[in-house]
Amino acid sequence: MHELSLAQGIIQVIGEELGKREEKGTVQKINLRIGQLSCVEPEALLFSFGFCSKKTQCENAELVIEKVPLTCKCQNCGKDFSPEEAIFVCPDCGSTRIKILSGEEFYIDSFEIE
Amino acid sequence: MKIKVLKDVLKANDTIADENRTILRKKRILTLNLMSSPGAGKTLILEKTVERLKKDFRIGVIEGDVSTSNDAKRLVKYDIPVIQINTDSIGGACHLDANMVKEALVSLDLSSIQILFIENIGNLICPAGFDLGEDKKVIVLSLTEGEDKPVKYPIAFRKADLLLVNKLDLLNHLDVDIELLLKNSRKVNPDLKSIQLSARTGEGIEEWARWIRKSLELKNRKSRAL
Repeated sequence: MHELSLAQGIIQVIGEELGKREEKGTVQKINLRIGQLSCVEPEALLFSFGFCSKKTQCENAELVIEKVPLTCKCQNCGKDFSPEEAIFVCPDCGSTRIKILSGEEFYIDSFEIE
Repeated sequence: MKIKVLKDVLKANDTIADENRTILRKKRILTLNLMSSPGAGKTLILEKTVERLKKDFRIGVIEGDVSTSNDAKRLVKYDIPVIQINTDSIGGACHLDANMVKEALVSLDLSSIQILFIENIGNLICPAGFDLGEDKKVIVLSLTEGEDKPVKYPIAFRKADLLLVNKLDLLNHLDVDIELLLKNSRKVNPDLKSIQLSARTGEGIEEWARWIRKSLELKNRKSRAL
């Protein structure tokens, strides 16, 4: 996947956020929310972040990854459910007309400075 | 001290994709994003499509590849504007993103284009995650890849508007079950329309060309109504 460009994206967003705030300090921790469907490999992301963050404001920061489970809504009967397989089938009515509610995101939730 | 950000890292791409979409809508350009695994036949399909539509429409192509301009060279012979994006200078990215397309749009004379094809990098995974500002996503799957690809790579198929099943001329030489392939694609995306074709023999190209004409007509009708 493209974990390298995602790692660069994280560093860029944190840099922008730090730039517009008065609080200064070193970034200790970055809290991420990563959807189950976003295809991001945490291991590869940690690895990429390790060398991308060298000599940036994020150097030595810890990446904390919270996985966001996949949740769906059946467009036929309105049932909310979490599919266990890659093919989404409503457990109640069997419809495959499904809308994804969560699980595709790749969020920076917050970061901590000291 | 904890600072809340709540920023989607991929959002930056979506914002640029929306800008691209606005530019393309103003110019009334139908934009199609072609995705497939490497070797499914995107470029040959494009060649045949350009041959078919060139007399009636002004066509432009953005070619995405990790390296080389081999595909772009195959298309410039039709005397249409072609922009090659090579991602090896930007870390060998496995997909096109909205910003690459935005830069390519600057190099194209948009007032002279009605249909813009974006040939994405050959990859069934990553391109699906990046909106480029296109009107429709078209996925190409060739018969040699087997009937289980839609269920193995559901994200790409779920987001697609049209499935082109290519290499139909090989049907009799393979054990592939085309009905099962289509059934698998509908399992993932019940609304996915499909067209079977062979870029090599030209079979089915007319049906695909009709789909493009109709999509352009619908887009123009919509933008007149706005």
